[in-house]
Amino acid sequence: MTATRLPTGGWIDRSQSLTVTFDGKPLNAHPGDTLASALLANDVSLVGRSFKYHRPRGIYSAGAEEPNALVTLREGARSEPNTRATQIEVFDGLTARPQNARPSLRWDLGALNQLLSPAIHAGFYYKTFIGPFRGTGFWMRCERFIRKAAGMGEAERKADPDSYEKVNAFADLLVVGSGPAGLCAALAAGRTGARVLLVEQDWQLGGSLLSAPRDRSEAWLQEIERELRSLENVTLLSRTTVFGAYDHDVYGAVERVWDHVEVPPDGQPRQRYWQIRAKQAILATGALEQPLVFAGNDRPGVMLAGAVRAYLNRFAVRAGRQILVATNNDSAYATALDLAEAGSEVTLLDSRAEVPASLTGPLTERGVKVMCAHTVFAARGHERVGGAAIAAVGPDGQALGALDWVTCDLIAVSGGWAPALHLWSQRQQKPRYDSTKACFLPEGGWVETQGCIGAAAGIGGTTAAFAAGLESGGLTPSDAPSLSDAGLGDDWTRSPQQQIPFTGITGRPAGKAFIDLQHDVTISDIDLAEQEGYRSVEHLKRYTTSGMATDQGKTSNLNALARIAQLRGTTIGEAGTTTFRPPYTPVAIGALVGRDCGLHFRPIRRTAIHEWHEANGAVMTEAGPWMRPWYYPQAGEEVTQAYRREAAHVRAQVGLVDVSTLGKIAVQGPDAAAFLNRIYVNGWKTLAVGRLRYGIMLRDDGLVMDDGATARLGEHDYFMSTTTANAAKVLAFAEELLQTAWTDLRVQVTSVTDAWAAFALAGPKARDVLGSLAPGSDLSAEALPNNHWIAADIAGVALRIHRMSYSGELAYEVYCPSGYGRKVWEAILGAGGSFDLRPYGTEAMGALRIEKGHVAGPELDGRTTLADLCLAGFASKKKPFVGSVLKNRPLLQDPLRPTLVGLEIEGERGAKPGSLLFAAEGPTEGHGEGWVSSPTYSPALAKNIALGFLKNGPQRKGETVRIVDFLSDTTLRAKVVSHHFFDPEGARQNG
Amino acid sequence: MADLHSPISHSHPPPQAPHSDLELSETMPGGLLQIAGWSGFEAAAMPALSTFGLEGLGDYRNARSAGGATVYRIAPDRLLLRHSEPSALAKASAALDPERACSLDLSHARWVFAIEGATAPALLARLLPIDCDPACFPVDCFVQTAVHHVGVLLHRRAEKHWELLVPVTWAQSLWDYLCEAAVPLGYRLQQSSA
Repeated sequence: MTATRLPTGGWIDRSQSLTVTFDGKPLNAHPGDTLASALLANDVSLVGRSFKYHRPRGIYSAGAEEPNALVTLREGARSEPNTRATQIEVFDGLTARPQNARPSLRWDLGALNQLLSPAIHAGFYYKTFIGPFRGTGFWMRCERFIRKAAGMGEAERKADPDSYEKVNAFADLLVVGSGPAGLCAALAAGRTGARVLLVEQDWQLGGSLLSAPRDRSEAWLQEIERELRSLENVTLLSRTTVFGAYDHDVYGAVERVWDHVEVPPDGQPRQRYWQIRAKQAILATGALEQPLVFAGNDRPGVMLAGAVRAYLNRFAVRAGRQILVATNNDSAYATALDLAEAGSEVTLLDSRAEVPASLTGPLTERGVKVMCAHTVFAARGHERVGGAAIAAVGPDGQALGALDWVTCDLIAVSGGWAPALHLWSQRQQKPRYDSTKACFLPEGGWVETQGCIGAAAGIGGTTAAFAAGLESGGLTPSDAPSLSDAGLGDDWTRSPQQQIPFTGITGRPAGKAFIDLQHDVTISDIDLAEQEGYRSVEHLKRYTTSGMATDQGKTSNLNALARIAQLRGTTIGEAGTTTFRPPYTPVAIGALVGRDCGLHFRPIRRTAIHEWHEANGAVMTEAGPWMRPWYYPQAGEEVTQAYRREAAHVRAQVGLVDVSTLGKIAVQGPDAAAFLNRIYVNGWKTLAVGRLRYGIMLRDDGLVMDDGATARLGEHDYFMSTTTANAAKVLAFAEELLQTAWTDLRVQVTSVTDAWAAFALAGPKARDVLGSLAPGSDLSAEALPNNHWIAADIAGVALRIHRMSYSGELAYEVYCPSGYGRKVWEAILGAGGSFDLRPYGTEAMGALRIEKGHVAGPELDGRTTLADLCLAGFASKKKPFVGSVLKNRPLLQDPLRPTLVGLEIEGERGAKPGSLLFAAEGPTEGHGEGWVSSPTYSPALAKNIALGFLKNGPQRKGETVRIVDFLSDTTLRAKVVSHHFFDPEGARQNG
Repeated sequence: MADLHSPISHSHPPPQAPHSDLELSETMPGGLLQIAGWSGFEAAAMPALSTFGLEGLGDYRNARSAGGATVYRIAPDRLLLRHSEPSALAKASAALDPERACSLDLSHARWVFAIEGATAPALLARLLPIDCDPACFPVDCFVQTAVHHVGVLLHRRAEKHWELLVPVTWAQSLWDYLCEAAVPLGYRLQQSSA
């Protein structure tokens, strides 16, 4: 292979020179080049190593189907593995490096695998590593090494410095592909005023036209593009690949917005992920040329004939000087002719016995030697092709005589064309094989909003595609500038020979003949799978891995099926085909993620006081989507010191905590009380306006769902609070019941969590603080006892004060409109200065509630019953409620169920939540007799305590148990006590 | 009455984009009242709407405005009534028969992001899967949808003026998200009116 850049021709911009670097070597290129064309122009034949055998590989194609030339682009955090050199648009400073080669591309130790090749056929690792020994241990050890050996390229671990974005688009018509069919379809629809989105994966419009000599189509392309761009209703998206077609006419596409520069401009995304919703889609995705299968068909210098023509006419690169063109269809004749006209010495081998003179004539006139009923059986060479074995070939693909070795530096092959049906198949059914055109066609589809035209529909020839595109929008060829055909043998559908591997007289290839270049699947692998009984093509695909690499079998599926059909003596159509799945080409994860990463991995919920917490040094913690103040450290304090200090201060003085995250639900309507009566286990019909009540609700299955206090604000108005974690679940549960089971109730439930800020003021001086702020309100125990609320005014804000306690202290909850939350919070803290009022965080809040024995999320974990929580007395016996029947299931009535207890832990060390409880003496086996749910250090008791669940707990008070944490391999001892550790009579909270 | 405190404490610094016509601002919604009911809701809600001269509840895609109030029909038995002056909604609330419908003040539950300019649809395309073409989304059309997983209401108030009503507790997070999404388009920040 001796490739050179021609002095004239092509679509490149010779007025500018660029430098790109491959494998550390600088190469000259021009704008308009791909990395692959630049490599060829600089006569770089070796660009990578193959997946399994590490065989030398060169550039094989000129597009998305490239199986060989996978490179890692850029360096450092911007590096990107497994990009196709054939689609990389060059820019000055582009760096790329080969993959799968150590220590160097030329001297690759992995190439030793070729010596082992007889032993590492399809499925070898299953056979070798699974089964020699009992159990899976041996396999699991081997798998680590197999996994290391597998894969191409390496993902970069540094954070990607570039941004990506997602965009939604809507269109009346989506046209995928900008070849003659796609352009004409877009033009025809655009003229009707329809919203058209024309998407092209290349940076240049034209599709297959760009592979033909420039003067054949340049003027036409310019005119069509000019008109399309003049239509406001037509959007052109180049550098964009539609990679997936999904239900409801949704298409996924990725736009390589700034991949063609080293660093995207400030603020601009490197790639953009489009979600396109189109009423109709026209797939003008063209067809992919297929390889010929023969020994050594993977050698650098074996290329697809259409690609060779594209490099010649689009990039002005003549890929070889002494060229063998081998084909089974008409299309390669144009390649041979163009190469000959560019000065190459060309021999064309056509495996078909009969070829019309209209094809052979122009070639022979140009000095091309044409040999019908001949083909290539083997390629010779290592890092580049040096010769080929040719011979006459029979219809079964076997040589009819001795092989004749000829010298050549390039073998251009064309094994027919496969319409690019990936997007069609993703939505529709499997395509049907057409033996006349030797390809699968998109027939029998049931999705009316999607169709193929042009080569994708099996229409051969440029002018036919041109006409089909126009007809799709109701136009005729006379309605658009005329377009001539793209050259000799333009119609690849005319009498192609069906795909068949070329083997020697014995029926075996004279060396490794590759079906799947990217996964190193050879004919013998397919033969082995067939021999071992893999009848389904889906099974055979997975066993051999043919078609499973990043190229998704674009150049291998058809030949694999052809071999299967040959072995079985059936047709390709009877052999069947596998299912296409997205993506058409690999998509960077970053593009799919868009902006939903880092701080925006998920949205964050903030209370009205969030800003104040941060400004005052709070260490924030996540509570579901919320950010809450965990603790407010003083100098040098960690969480342990801080929460103990804060909790002790609440017991001794007074503290203020932001509880705005509590779920808050407005329950309204004439039947609100009846609704509460059904959803809560306790009764609500007697609750008076101005009162509030603690309630517990069960799930349908009788297990506890949530708890909280509900206040009656008015005749038909209730204000329900839920735990922070279950707010959405409770609202959805209530909505579902009202819309399905309880349609008789005139009740509406609405989340008002956003509408209200809430603060808990707790401690012996809480009344004094509030009293100083709302002098007009009577906060005395007589006027405002526990479970009552009053309307009040603080700092000019109308609000409510609920008398209730979570901490076990004298406490109030202040509910104010959230927009005034900050003002009220600061007013309370300001007034509390003389009472030594301090804010406290969630860690101290948790310690206080554990001391008091109040249950929370760790106890309401979806496994516990009312009885488990020692709350069975709350359940009304006079009325039904959600869960009232199933809570009586025998399993839930078992007296030995773990039940809530308090644990006083011996020693200085606290317990870990989730630790298991075992009897003081006895075996430490199984799941134990219970678990620790909420541990803390109790400043009030000056010891480590915990809430937990213990079998037959109420009867075991005074007993010592072991707390075992298997994760840290520690065992503690604890005394079982009442879970009401602190002020069990409630004197403080009721005072 | 005290001033409302904006949930937006900080904004992403806008990029240098002198040619961008995109303007972003955040503001209070004014008064926002939910009216909900049961069977016969339309008749039950009309007395409240009539206080502003509104002649019907409208449909689920088109907002109606009269007397300074705008009504959004957000569900078969729910609507949102919005007015620039919160106290103006009291008369609507008072006009309801509590046996047939109920009202709920949500003025503090939502915040408003205003998106202004010819580029606004391009920004919205980066936020939500809604077709903002005038043929599909004319002036005064609204939808309830989601931005970054958070439920919002999008209202096209004028040809180039869009508003997103967002829950206040998510507002800062969504504002950050929105501003970042606008960076590639370029934008200017308008002063908050809160």
